Amino acid sequence: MTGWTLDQMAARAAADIPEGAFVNLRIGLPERVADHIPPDREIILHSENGILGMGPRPAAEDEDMELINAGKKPVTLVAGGAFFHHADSFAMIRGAHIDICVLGAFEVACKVTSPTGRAAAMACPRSGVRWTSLRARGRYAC
Amino acid sequence: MAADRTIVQVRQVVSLGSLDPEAIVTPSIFVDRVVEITDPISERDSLLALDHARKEAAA
Repeated sequence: MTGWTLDQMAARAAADIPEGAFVNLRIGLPERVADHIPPDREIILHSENGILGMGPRPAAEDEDMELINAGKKPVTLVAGGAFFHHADSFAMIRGAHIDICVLGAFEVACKVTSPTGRAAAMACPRSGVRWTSLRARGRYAC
Repeated sequence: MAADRTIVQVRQVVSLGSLDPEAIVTPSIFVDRVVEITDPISERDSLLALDHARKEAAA
């Protein structure tokens, strides 16, 4: 069996997100999920640097480094999107307003014993930053 | 942010994308219901009217 490409993984995760969900995408591979949101589904993407209504990556000529996601990559804003303060952004997370958080994981246990599964330590390879907890009401997609 | 349900009263509902993203104070994630009241009664005006009516009755 051949492995999936990064975009196939992102598209598979995006296909699982239900209509109307507020979704946080963590740094790294999960950022790609923004490029694969089904066009017929209203899904509101949240980026913790202060965006609700984040869209896919722009074309190279449309990149604006004033409009970036938490991974410092250029993104777009969908119609009806909003910018807000970092503290408000984390209030959304800690107040459990986010329905789903998409995490990248190095390894996931095959015998899942909890609704959130068991993921090994997560890290962003570029910076070595470890992100181990994000309070979300829903489930985790890896 | 801490409430289970948040109901917002607005004077006008505008089309999607017409608000400046920088000017939004309460993003949709905090709002569960929106009630449009185009011409709300001002509490101050109604109190003044009540006060006026009482004075008229006393006179």
